[in-house]
Amino acid sequence: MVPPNRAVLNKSEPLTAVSFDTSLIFKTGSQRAERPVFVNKVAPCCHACPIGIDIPAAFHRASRGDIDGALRIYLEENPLPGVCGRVCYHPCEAECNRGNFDESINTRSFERFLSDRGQVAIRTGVPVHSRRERIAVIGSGPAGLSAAYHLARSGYHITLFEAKSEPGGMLRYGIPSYRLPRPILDREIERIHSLGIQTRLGATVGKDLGFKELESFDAVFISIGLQSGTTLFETDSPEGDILTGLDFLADPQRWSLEDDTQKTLIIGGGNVAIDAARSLLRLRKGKGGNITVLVPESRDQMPALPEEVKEALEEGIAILNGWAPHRLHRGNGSPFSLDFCRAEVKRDEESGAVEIIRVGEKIQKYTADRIIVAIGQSMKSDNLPEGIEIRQGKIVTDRFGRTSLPKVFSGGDAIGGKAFVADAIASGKMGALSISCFIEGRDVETAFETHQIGSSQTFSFQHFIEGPQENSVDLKRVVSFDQINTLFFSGAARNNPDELEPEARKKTGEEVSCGVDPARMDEEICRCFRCGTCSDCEICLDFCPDISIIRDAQLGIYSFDADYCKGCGVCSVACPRGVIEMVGETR
Amino acid sequence: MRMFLTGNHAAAYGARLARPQVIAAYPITPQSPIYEKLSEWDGQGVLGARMMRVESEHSAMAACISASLTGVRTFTATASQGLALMHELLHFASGMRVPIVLVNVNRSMAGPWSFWSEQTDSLSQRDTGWLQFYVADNQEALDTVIQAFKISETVLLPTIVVLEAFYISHFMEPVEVPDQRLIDEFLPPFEPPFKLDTDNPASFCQVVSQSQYAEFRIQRHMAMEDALEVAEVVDREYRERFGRGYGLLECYRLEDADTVLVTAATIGSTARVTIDALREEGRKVGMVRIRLFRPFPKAKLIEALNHAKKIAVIDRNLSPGQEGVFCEELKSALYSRINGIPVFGFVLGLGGTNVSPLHIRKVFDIAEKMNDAPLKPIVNIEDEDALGI
Ligand SMILES: Cc1cc2nc3c(=O)[nH]c(=O)nc-3n(C[C@H](O)[C@H](O)[C@H](O)COP(=O)(O)OP(=O)(O)OC[C@H]3O[C@@H](n4cnc5c(N)ncnc54)[C@H](O)[C@@H]3O)c2cc1C
Ligand code: SF4
Ligand code: SF4
Repeated sequence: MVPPNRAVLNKSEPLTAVSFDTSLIFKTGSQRAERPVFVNKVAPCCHACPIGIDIPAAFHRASRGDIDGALRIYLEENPLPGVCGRVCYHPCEAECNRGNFDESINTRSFERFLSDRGQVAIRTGVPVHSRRERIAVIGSGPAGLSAAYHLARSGYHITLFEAKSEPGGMLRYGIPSYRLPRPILDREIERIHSLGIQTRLGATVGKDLGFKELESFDAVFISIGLQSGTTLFETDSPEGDILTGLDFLADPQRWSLEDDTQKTLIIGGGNVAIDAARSLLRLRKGKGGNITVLVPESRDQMPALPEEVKEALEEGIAILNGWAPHRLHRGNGSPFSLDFCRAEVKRDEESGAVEIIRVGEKIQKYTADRIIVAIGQSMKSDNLPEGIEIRQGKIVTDRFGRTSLPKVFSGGDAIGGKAFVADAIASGKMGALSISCFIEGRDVETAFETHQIGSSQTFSFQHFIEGPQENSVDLKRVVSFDQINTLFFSGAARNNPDELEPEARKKTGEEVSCGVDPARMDEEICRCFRCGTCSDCEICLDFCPDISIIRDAQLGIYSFDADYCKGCGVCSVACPRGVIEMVGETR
Repeated sequence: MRMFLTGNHAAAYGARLARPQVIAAYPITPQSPIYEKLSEWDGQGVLGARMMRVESEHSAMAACISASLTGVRTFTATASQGLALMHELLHFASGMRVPIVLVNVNRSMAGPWSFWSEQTDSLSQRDTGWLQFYVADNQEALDTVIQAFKISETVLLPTIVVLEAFYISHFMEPVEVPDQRLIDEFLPPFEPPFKLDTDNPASFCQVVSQSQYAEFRIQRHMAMEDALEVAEVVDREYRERFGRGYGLLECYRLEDADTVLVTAATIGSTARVTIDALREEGRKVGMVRIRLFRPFPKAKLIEALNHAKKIAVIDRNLSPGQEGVFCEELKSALYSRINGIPVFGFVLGLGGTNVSPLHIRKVFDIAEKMNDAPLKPIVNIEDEDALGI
């Protein structure tokens, strides 16, 4: 039925306001007091990584299936992702925002995944040998490799001098292959070499050739590490029954330690001690009954990486904590009798120096056939250039790696600081920055501060060589957990790598960790919040009540429509990852 | 089919039989079982509507308006605070002439918190331009929901069907659930005269000039007036097809009644029992139960009460500083035509307290004993001294 009143109304009259015209004349933008700013920021993982890798950008590429692109982002800062993806102490994970939500992202496994699956020709787009200056790098550990890599990417000619017959430093002669398989290391070093770096192996600078011979180089980077194991007793025993962990690990076959009936004592609580114990176990085909590690620190104070300790225990290695060596007796039958006392350890967080304090009078006797001492390393200073300042056994530098000598820079374990691979790589990168600035006559302090990541000790080398970019990351701002809109994420458990069973792995020496398989890595890639990195999720676009978010299809970036955005700030609240913020309008 | 149903489920059956295409709602006590039942059918794949789970009643109504503008039949349900939260959008809905049907389960408004029956939530929406039906039992709930779609879609105004909390929503009664085929014949698909259409883009609800606005307001009012007639026609047609009709008012034993009770909802069904008893005793009493509150059926009321000597109104609501809303509305209707009948306003059953047959008998006693109607509402029927009788 037609209602009576409507029947008498003019039928062409609409019953409600309908417009077939545009409402674009209402420029609601005039109401705006604040405007949205779209700017990518630094994720806390990147801020915590000593190398400053842009982890969320890589996760973003990977989420688009671009594994090569993701690896390229890693390689912008880190020449050794396959190494770090296996042995790094991953401070990035400790700071991961997702840790406040459920569990941190497995960024280290992601790094390994990329290096195992990605293919990047690093020479493309890099001005190799575009400059005439030559730089000498002494020592091919991670610090030297990193300095050589970043300088080569910047166009310099690099000659790398290495005393040993093969490059890699402690990556080859320290860290055992069940943690870092040599083909992985070889592949990464090969990639660095592809930048046209000359390498002279078996060349100990200061012995086989003098520093004088390096005078024709425009700069020198010294990264000789700490090659001498600290001794506790007269290590150079004629019988070779007391040796250092470093000597043992450099060539485990050499010391006739295969006999598993020989009681072997390892002294120390760091990675070297644990690596020595586990390498010995493998040398003895998994028979570990006579291997004991004596550690002055308590279990949670041990400087060795917790996962290494856990794996050693799983493999059946005895670790006794809270004992320090007191006196050594050389007997007749069984070669040694050792006295131990109860101990506590104080560690200075700044310098890393340790103080062992004896507790009580109790003495414990221990007999052993062989002893491996792994209580620290020191630098061989006899091969250094004349006049270089050395303090407490380390080369003195400022925070940019400049030594007391002109043209001479240094980094890595040789200058102190944290003795980890990632820190050595970071220090090589810093050396590269310093040397570039030195040669180009630029102020390194300004260069560093311009590209410094947040308040960290590191900077972005990519930003340094690219110069300021349109819409690049605001390196000074770190996205905190409260800037993450967790409503857009649902809980999901962290994906940890599979490992070989302890019984199997301890007999073979194969790599313990199998990495995370692609299906589970896909889940891990989805889990990452991508803090501070726009991921094109377009949630802002869905939420803007004024349809005022504009996407630049070519650049793939977002901005706002100044004519209509009324500054309500919904986009900035909605943004899951802290990319959009409101700033006062200046009109 | 005859089924044993709660009022909520009866309303849900009514909604389902009407074949809405979009249902957007938010659960709230005591309405939740309606939404739950519909969700259950949705889960079983027998509902045929798109269920939208929204974050608030405000969003539920916004979603209903938009859906309805695209020309689809739209249903929602709420109660109390939820209805209050929708308030802003209730104005939009009627202003945009979208025929949404909403079931509101009458529940007292906070604070303090309370969950029982009271009419303040829906009566507060009096001026939003929605039709309002107050039903007295579960069968009427089901039938009114179906009728509401037809009335709304004819006059292009939305309708609230009001069920009382617990007295209807949670009580079970035998209910006749009509055959889907017969309902389909009674209620053909919704054909709006105008709708959102991406092939012919338009925007709705712009800023208009003062005079245009005034014009739209008058038009809406005229549509409300039309609704009086449309509601009657639809109810009559429903009675012809299904054997049940309710009228805009329920007039009960009005023949030669001197004292007439006017009330709404379940108090009306209780009153039938009291009136039967009083008639046995020879007292000339009757009742008018107001079923349609908006538009207010003035002419019908005047006609029904023309011969009454005294009128008693029971309101399960109280407009603070005035009186019960039904009483007030009734007086304003009567004033235009018949003067001089005293109207005794009682406010009983607030917060869901029970209004029993004995209470209603007392109301008749008081009305008969008192000569002049007091200016203030009578809220205490026990204290006769205070009433001066
Ligand atoms: C057993 C062991 C396990 C470790 N495990 C881990 C781990 O799991 N995670 C981690 O982050 N860190 C670990 N570390 C620490 C890490 O390996 C070192 O901090 C890092 O390798 C230091 O790098 P570098 O480049 O400064 O020195 P090095 O790696 O020591 O490299 C120095 C290089 O310089 C060469 N060299 C020295 N003198 C001369 C000279 N005069 N002329 C030419 N060449 C010279 C040496 O032969 C050597 O190749 C471990 C260390 C050891 C020993
Ligand atoms: S190098 Fe270490 S800290 Fe940096 S991203 Fe890789 S695992 Fe994390
Ligand atoms: S969630 Fe992703 S981007 Fe954010 S801190 Fe963790 S790894 Fe980095």
